[in-house]
Amino acid sequence: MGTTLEAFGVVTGDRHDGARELADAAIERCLADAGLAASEIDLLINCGIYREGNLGEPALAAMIQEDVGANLGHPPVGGHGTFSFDVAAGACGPMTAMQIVDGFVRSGVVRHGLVVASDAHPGRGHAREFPYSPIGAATLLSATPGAVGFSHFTTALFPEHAGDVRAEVHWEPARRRVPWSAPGRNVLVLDRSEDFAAHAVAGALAVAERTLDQQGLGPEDVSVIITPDAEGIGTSVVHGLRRPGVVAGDGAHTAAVLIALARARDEGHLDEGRALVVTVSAGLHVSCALYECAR
Amino acid sequence: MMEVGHSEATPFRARIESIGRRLPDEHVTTEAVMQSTRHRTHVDLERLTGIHERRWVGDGEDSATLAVAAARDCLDHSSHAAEDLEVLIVCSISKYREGLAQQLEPPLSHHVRAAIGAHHAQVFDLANACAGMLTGVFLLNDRIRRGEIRCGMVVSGEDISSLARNAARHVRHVLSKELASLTLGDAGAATIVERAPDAEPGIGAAGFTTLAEHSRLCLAYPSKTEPGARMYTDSRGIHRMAIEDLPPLLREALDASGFALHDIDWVVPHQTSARAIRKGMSEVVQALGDEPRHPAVVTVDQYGNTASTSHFVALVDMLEDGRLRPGDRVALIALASGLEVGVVVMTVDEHLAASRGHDA
Repeated sequence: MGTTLEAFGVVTGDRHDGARELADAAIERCLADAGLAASEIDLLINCGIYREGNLGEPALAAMIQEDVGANLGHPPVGGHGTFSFDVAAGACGPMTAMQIVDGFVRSGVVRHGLVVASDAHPGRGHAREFPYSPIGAATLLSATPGAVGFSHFTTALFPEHAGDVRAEVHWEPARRRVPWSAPGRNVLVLDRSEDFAAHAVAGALAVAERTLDQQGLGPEDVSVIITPDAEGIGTSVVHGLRRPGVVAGDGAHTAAVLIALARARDEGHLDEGRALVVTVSAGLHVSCALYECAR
Repeated sequence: MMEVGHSEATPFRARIESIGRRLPDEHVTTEAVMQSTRHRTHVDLERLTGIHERRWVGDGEDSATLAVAAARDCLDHSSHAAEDLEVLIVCSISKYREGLAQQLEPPLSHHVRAAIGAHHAQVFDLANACAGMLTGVFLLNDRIRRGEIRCGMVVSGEDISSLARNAARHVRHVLSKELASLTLGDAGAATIVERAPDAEPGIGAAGFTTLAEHSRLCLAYPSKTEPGARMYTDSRGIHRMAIEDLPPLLREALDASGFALHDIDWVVPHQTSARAIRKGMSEVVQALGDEPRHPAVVTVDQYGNTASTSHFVALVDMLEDGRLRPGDRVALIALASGLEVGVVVMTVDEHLAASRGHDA
């Protein structure tokens, strides 16, 4: 039994779109691609970080589940329900989520899992600046017989580079106090060091080579490298491994790896062979996984 | 989603091996909280909720320090060293570090990993409101059952007293959407989940579902007018849904795990209000026509609602006062914004019963 990527949905928004709306639209497109009803989703994991008003509770996944109409109404006793929650691991979040879905598929608990990621400006006054494109992406993962799909998820941290990328919501007192206005605001602040890209490439190459090495494989055993394109990191990783690559992401943050996977599917790279998926994120956090393509 | 029993794919069992917590030193009574409200509310919150006091963080404490201290306490009562942890999941709703700065990237789990020296652990943050820690246990249970890992930790540090302080400026009456914020207390909690030795029953069943039709009954955002956050809760709506929907879900979980309610020694619900817990439990007893061996566990009177940490804050009390004995069967019940509903049924073994110095 393996966990395979069955369908994708990618939606590009504009500056007015919120992360939740983008996630909703991406899921609807993904389910249409799969020909599946929302009620068939057993597990829904949202990996987006930046959302409307910097919402802290509930998990955005629950609101998305309500929006797409997955098993609403009274409890699904004796029938079918959907379980939703959020994972936060930056741009590596979808990899963590796909690993969780893969685990529950292998246990026989989940037949269809949906991973969604979207980030958008949290709204006027809620962020100093926001560098990412408003994009939502979703993928449907399903149980498939045979030695196919994801395997060998590997992650590594390089805490010596933990300060390269930082994002927090903190209180900034107002510079001037205007009558009847708030004395300040809670605002999202993102900092990114110029060194991040170089550190990310070195870390990604080390973890990718370790992932292959642990399986007795070399880069020549991989038909395609699939990785996001942020700051030229993906291109450098593909060059470093000297294999064909699908490098995409369209300026998205957490959705980038799902966009790259969707493009790989569209270009036929998931029809045969073995893919290596590589992501990097703040921390410095690297995630890799192998994907055996179904024939 | 329900995980129960063995299969070819899941030949192992998981168990709770150790539990740690960190409670801030400052005790704050409900009387003091209500005296701090800007408006005369005419609300007797202590009578309404049964909460006498809660702990609030002091200078230099936040979500990160609570999580790290709880993780260290958990390791101090464990046979494992930090290097043994293969997965570390941080489940806090609040992610304050260095004061009221909500850290989004890198995730708080990276900080906890470095602080306790869990250098081999895969880490990520998980958000599932007050069901966060039990969701983390559910995920580790799955990986341990399949034999993928042997040992992992779930941690949370909830620095949520800013919500109470902010609510005190805005609550006007008993119907205020921010009234529930006045029940909040700060705490850190951690638990190590490991592969159970062959003879130990460990976690017998775990199941979760999201009743997403009610996803907007409790919302929390950074405040627009002051540091920290604000939370808006339809407490009556949540209580109504809990009373309607919990009994059939609990019955299904117990049926799947082969237990009846009278086989359960202790029911540990999410700690929101002593009155709501007792009323909810009596509804469950009536609906199922059966009851657990002891009344529902209540610690909210001493600690307030400590969000995702509440079950483990309660379990530490029960371990320290010797209530939890080897062989006791415990049902941990999650009910959280989302609405997230979950149950984890576990059996206490000698190792856990003795882990906090009480003779097993």
